[in-house]
Parts: sequence; C-alpha cells; structure tokens
Amino acid sequence: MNKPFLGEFEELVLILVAGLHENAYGAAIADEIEERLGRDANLSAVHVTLYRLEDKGYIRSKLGGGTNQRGGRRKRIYTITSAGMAMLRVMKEARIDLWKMVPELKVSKI
Amino acid sequence: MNQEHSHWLKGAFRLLESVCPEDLYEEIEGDLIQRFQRDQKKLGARRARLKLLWNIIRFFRPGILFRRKFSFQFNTITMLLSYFKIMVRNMHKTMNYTLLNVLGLALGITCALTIFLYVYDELTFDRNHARYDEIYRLNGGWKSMTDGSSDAYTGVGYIVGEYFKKDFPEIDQMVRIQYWGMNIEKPGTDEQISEHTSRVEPDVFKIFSFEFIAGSDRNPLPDANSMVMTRKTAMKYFNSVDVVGKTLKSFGHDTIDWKITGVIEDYPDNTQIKMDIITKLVPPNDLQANADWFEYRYRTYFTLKPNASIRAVEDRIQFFTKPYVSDYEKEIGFTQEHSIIPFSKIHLYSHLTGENNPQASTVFIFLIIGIFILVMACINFINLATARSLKRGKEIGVRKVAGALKSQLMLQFLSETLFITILAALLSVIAVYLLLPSVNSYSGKNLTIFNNSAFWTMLGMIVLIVSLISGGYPSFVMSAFKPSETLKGTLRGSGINQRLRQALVVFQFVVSISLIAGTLIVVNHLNFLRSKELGFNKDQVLLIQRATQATKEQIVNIAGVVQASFSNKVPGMLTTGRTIINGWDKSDPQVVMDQLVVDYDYIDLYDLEILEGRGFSKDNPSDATEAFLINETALSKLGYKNAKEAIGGELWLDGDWGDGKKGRIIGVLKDFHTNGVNSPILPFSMFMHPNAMRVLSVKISSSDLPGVLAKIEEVYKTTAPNRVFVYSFLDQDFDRQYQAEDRFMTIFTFFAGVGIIIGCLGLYGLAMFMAEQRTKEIGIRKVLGATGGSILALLTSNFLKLVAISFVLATPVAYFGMEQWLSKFPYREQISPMLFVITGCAVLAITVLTVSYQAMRAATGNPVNALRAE
Repeated sequence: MNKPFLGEFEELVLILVAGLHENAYGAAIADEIEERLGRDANLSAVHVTLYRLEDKGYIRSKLGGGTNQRGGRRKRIYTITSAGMAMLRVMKEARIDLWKMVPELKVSKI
Repeated sequence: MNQEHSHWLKGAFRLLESVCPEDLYEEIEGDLIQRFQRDQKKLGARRARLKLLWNIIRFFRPGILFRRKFSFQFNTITMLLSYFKIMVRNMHKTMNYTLLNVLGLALGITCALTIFLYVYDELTFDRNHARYDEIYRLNGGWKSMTDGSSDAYTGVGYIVGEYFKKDFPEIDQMVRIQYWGMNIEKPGTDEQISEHTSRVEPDVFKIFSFEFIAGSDRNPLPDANSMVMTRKTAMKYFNSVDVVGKTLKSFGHDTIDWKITGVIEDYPDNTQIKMDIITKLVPPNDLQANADWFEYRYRTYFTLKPNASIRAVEDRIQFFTKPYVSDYEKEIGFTQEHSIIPFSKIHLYSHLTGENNPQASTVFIFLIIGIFILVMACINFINLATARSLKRGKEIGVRKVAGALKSQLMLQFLSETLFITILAALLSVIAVYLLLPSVNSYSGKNLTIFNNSAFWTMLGMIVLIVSLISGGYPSFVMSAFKPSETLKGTLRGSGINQRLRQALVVFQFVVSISLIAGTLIVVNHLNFLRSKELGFNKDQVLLIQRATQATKEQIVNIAGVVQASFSNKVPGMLTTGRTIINGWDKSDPQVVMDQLVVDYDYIDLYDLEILEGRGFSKDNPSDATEAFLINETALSKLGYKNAKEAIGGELWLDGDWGDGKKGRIIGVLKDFHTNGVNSPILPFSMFMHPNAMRVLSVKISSSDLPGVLAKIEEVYKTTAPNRVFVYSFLDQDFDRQYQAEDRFMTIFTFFAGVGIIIGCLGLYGLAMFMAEQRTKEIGIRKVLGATGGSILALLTSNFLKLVAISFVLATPVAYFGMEQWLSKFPYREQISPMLFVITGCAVLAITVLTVSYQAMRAATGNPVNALRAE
C-alpha cells in the first residue's frame, strides 16, 4: 500500500515531525495539531500515522527519556529522514505549482 | 501512576497491553497518561477519566491490532515435557484436590454424554429417510356439530387421498399405508406367528428410503400376493436372506400364499416407519362413498412439487372435502376435520389418538439438564482452581522473573486443564459404556457408542469446550500474578475473585435446590396418581381375546376363577367415536358417548357402584334388549340435572347395532376413571347385546396364578380351536400408562442426585481450601481461647449465608417450572409449600455436613502446628 504520495494527515504529521525536532513524539504532535490548526487529533490516529510513516521510511524512531508526567514511561522520539525531507519538498512544490493557477487567491470574474 | 485510577481503567490498560505490539506499548501508555494529566487540569478529574477511557478504546484499531507480530514461540518438546513433569508433580502433591477435580468433571461429562446421546437419538428420528423433510402427512378427524367434541387421527379414509391429490395441484406424489395383521405359518412347521404387517402403495418406495439387499427396488410389489420383508423377518422364517421367490402362507380372513419379491435392510430404532412385512395395498371394493370419508384407517403421506408451497395446501385443507360431504355431514351431525403435519415433526410434536410419541418438552428439559450439569462441573473446577491458584504463586513469580511471557503461562495452565479434562473424559467413556445397557433397557432405545460418529464428535467438543471454560479464567488470573507480590509472599486473592467464587457457589446451590424440589414434586405426583381411586377393581383381572360362550361357561368352573364377563371393551379402552340419540324422535339431538356393551356379570366383576336405579338383572327379560345404564359424566351431556332425573330417560341407539335399539335408562353408575388417571373421564352408555363378545374379562382370586392360567389356556384351546390364545392382565395394561411418568421420575431423580453430588464435591473442595487458608487465623483464635464450637460456627456461617440466598432465588424458579409440568395432567394436587421447607432443610443439612467435616478438622487441630511459621 505504498502510494508515492502522502495522505493529508500523513503530510501534516510528517511536517510536524520535521518541525518539532526532539519533541517529535505522539502526544506532542497531537497537541500541536490541536493548538495550531484547531482540529481534534486523536492520539491513536497520530500514533498509527507515525508507524505508517516509519514503515514507508520517511521517519525513524528511538526511545527517549521518561518523565514524571508520563508516570515514568519513555517517549518514542521520531526524526525525519532524507527520504522524508525529499518527499516533503516534492509535495510542497507540487502544491505551489497548483496555487499559481489561482493568483492572489481570488477567483477571476468573467 | 496515579493510585486513584479506578479498576476499569486498570483493566482497560491491561487489555490494551495484551493486544498491542510489545515494543510500542510503553510509549502509547505514556502518551495516554500525559494526555490525561493535561485533561485533568483542563477539564477536571471526572471528564479526564472518561476521555482517557475513550482514548484507550480508540487504540483498538486495525493499525494497531494488525501490527502485532504473532511471534510463534516455539515451545519445543522439551518445554512441553517440562510442563508435563511439573503438572504431574503438582497433581501428586495435591492429590485430594486433583481427585476431586477429575471426579467432578468425569461425573459431569458422563451425565452430559448420556443425555446428549439420548437427545441426539430423539432429534434425529426418521432421518434414515432421504426425503425426510419433503414428506407430509394428512391427518383426519371429526367434530360434532351438536356438542363440539372432536377427535383427530393419524390416518384418513381411502377415498380422501384420491380427492386430495385431485384437488391440490401442489401435490407431487401421494401414497397410503395401511396397517394390517396376519398369522403366518413358519415353513416346515405347524406353528403360526401373529405378525403386524403393512399394506402399501408401490410409490411408498419412492418417497421413503428402503435399502434392498435382495430383489430390486424397481417394481418391488408386482402382484397382489407379492411380499417384501426385512432382514430380521427373513432370518426368522428362513434363516437366510436369499429368499426371493420363496413362499409363505398366511391365515386370516382367508388363506393366502405369498411370494417373496424382495428383502430390505432392517430399519434403525429411531424411526416411526417400522414395517417388517410389506404387501401391496389393494383398493377396498366395498367403498361406500359417503361413510368412507369418516374412516381413518389409511395413513396418507404426500410430497410437494418443486416451488409449491405447503402454506397454500394448509390454507385450503379445511374446506376441500366440503363439496363432497357437506350433505352427508349435515345428515350425521359431524364435520370432517383435516390437518397437515410435516413428517419430520411427527415424532416429537404429534400426539393424536393412537400415537405414543414423546413430548418435545421432555427432550428439551433433558438437554437443559445435561448442559446445566456440565456447567456445574466446570464451575466447580473454576472455583477450586482459582482458590488454589494462590498456592502456585511462587512458581509463577519465578517463571515470570526468568522471562516467561504471559501467553506462555496461559498455555501452561490451559494444557494442564486440558490434560485433566482428557483424564476425566476417559473415565467418562468407560462409565458411559458400563451404563449404556441399563439406560437402553430403561428408555427402550438402542444407543451405542462404537459405530456412533456423533458420540465421538460430541466427546471431542465437550472436552474442548470444558477445558476452555474451566481453564480459561483461572489461567488468565494466574498468568497475571505480579512476581513482586508472589515472591514476597504478600499475594492476596483479589476482591473480584472472591465475589465471583461466591456467585458461582450460589448458582450451584440454586440448581441443586431446584433439582431437589423438582424431584420431590415429581415423586409426590406419581404417588398421587398411583394411589388415586380408580373407581373399579382392576386387580387380578385377566383379559382374553376371541373367546366363545363355551369358554366362559367352562372357565368359571376352574378353581381360583371368581367370575367371567363378556364385553366389547374394558376400562381403559373407551373412546369418543360413538353417538347416541337423546330421545326416541328422529329430531332429537345426537350426543357423543361411547358404547359399553356387556353381559350380566360385568358390573359385578368390576365392582362398579350404582348410584341410582339398578343394574341388569335376569329377572327382567327386557333388560337384555331395552335397558341402558349411563355414568355420571353422561348425565350432563344428556341434559339431566341429577341421577334421579335420568331414570326412565329415553335413548335410541341406531346404526351398528343393527336393529336401532330404543330403550330407557334403568340405572346410573358412579363415575370411574374410564381411561386412567391421566385422561378425562369419558361418558358412555352401557347396554347388552349378544354380539358384544370381544373381550372376556376373568376375575381371578388365587395365589397360584400360573397354575390357574395354565388351566384357563386348556379350556380356551378346547372351546376355541384354531384360535391363538392371546391374553393380558388389566392392571399391567394400566400401569403401562404411568410408565412415561415413572421413567421420567426415575431419570429426573437420578440426575438430581448427580447434580447434588457435583454440588457437594464443589462445596467440599471449597471448604477444604477455606479451612487451609485460615489455619493461622484459627490457630490464633484457639490460642486466645475460642472454643471448637465457635470456630465451627465461624467457618460454616459463610456458607450458610450463601445457602439462604440461593434458597430465596431457587424457590420461585422451581415452583414455576414444576407448575408448568403439572398443569398438563388432568388430575393433580397443588404444590404444597411444605415441600420447599423440606428442601430447604435438606440443603441446609447437606451443606452443614459437607462443610463441618472440614471445619471440624481445622477446629480441632493443634494451634501449635498452625502457627509454626513456614
């Protein structure tokens, strides 16, 4: 099921992994989505997406340190790979290309 | 981790852990907790907890569940052997418990197997016929237009089948079977054997399945004197099955030479079509069109064309005869009634006149009992296993520390349970094998285990299911022990387990109490039936068929013979098929009443009581032709308010008794049970007629029954030459009525006993365990001065509480169930509350006995031994 392109949520999560650096783990990513985009992100959805991305090779993971807040359980920190970075770049350019068709985000009058 | 988390959350986490990929679980749990902490601050503890639960549930999704790498831990042979060794050692150490467990399970499985064998036999009745669910039977019957009484039979008239096929295009094939009888001479001897035979139409071989071992099924009955017989019959007469072409002679109305054209395989026991000798059905040549509609001698079966609906036939069945008989119906005052029943349903659901089928409810009751007993045995096992599991805590702790996975531990304990179950199953097979002969003779069946694939399948399934149920829960509990607790010695049985155990004990008690109460009620009822006054004297009455007047005259001279009397029927044989006109006018109403035709000695022989008027007397010659007696039940039917009124009443008998007998009522008999205590009392008119010499009742008063019988047989042979001496005893015939209830009672009692034993076993085991658990506590109490008695009370009080609860629960259940069963009997007593009191006391006594033995041992032990530290 390895499509050459990412789904919308997958892209979202991938960007956040790239952006959050050493805070790129399940709960934090979910929090970011809720704060920045205002939409509810279910924890399980985020986790499953992270696993899928790792299967596709766009990110890699390592178990990190535990905190009291988590009752001592360790986090799994994700980092983006070069393949992941490349995929993001491709998608971003494809999108910009499409946006050129609608300059200034206005629909032209007939 | 917040210690305030509720049980539910803990359980949910554990469940998630069990399905989650091992390496991912920790971070998932951490994230969940982090979220929870945040939610707690934002939304408060309550909502946060709910959200947590919801979040956990959402983790049960394909993305997580299917990620789990099903690592097949290859438990090598060595591992399994090690499990086996440990298990055997364990069993040896705790021999008492192990024995209890195995025995309890064996008992349960034996009962379940026996019951299931019986139920399977009943439910697969008639399946030896391939077209079993395509066949239907047409039933006949009549209904009186004057007083609404009716009756239904398994057969119809010959003519009915013909018109039935004509009027219903849905019908594909229609066949008739007529039951017949003849005396067949054994070749090479003078001996005649009285046989039940069947006369059938050739299509019967297309609808029902018969396996031909000689001759062909193409045209099995080509001629009117062709005969097909079963293997058994062929062996009986010829000692071989190679008999096609041979002849047999029969004597009946006429003497016939039969030519054998085929031999079929014997039929299995569980079928209703039991035909040993089959000949061709010839249409009757004395077909009186009208009367034949109201005749019921031909069993008529049919099949439908494909795509035809039985509903369509059922809808029209009531009225299809109207165009042919409605005039005649008006003339005789009866309407023709028809119904249809699928062949597959006949055995359990058809109970028409002349049928002797078991009740479907009986079969299902036994099935439920079987299942319950099995469940009880499993419950015992679970209780004992969970209770004793604490003892193995150290072993489990060490195993876990050494790296055992939960799944491995579960496998270990499940396989232990499986082993014990298999042991129990082996014992059961032996037990069933030993019990089967008695079961068979008792139920009149022929159950076997050897060629019976159904039996072994059932056994396998029972073993699997029992192991899973009995082993599943304890394994789950045991594999979850925390090594830290077990090795430190602080392991305590959790509260849930205690509650569950108590609930299970209550369940067992409820079942046992219901069984005991039920048994008492059944026994009571049977005694009631037995001792109920029948109203006539049936002791030492011999019934002889086809005797002559000379026979009667000579028999009364035999020493030991008190009296003899001819009649057309004896008590027990009355029916509803006859009518009498209540008056001497053609316009007077016809009333449905049976006709009891007797001679002068009848009333005396049977000790019948006359309420009003008088019996037949030789002093009044008109008694022989114009006198009637009626019984009390007939009074209301004829419209009389009391017996006095009835004397002198006019009655007119027409039809069968030739001359159309007009007469008056000279006496009224006190009611007696005409057909036994399980049937309502039928009304009848009693009169005399020289043609009524069907049955000779002989009252005997002698201690040498065989001797008198022999002399009677001699007299018969001389006075009725060329006739077969057929006799029976009236009281035996009557007792056969109670056979069904008798058997039911015995079997019910037996299983009640088993249920109670299993319950006791469980109780004993639990008591043993409990005493062990509290040894230290008891030791301390004794040291502090408690008496043996107070300790006894302490230990038993727990159980007594449970018994009380069970009693309260069980009583309404038992009452309701037995009420249902009893309501089917026309004569019965009310269920007395005394019964339940007795049951309660019995259960109390049993509990106290079982528990106190263990409690005694604990109470009288030396406290020093108890307190010695391990």
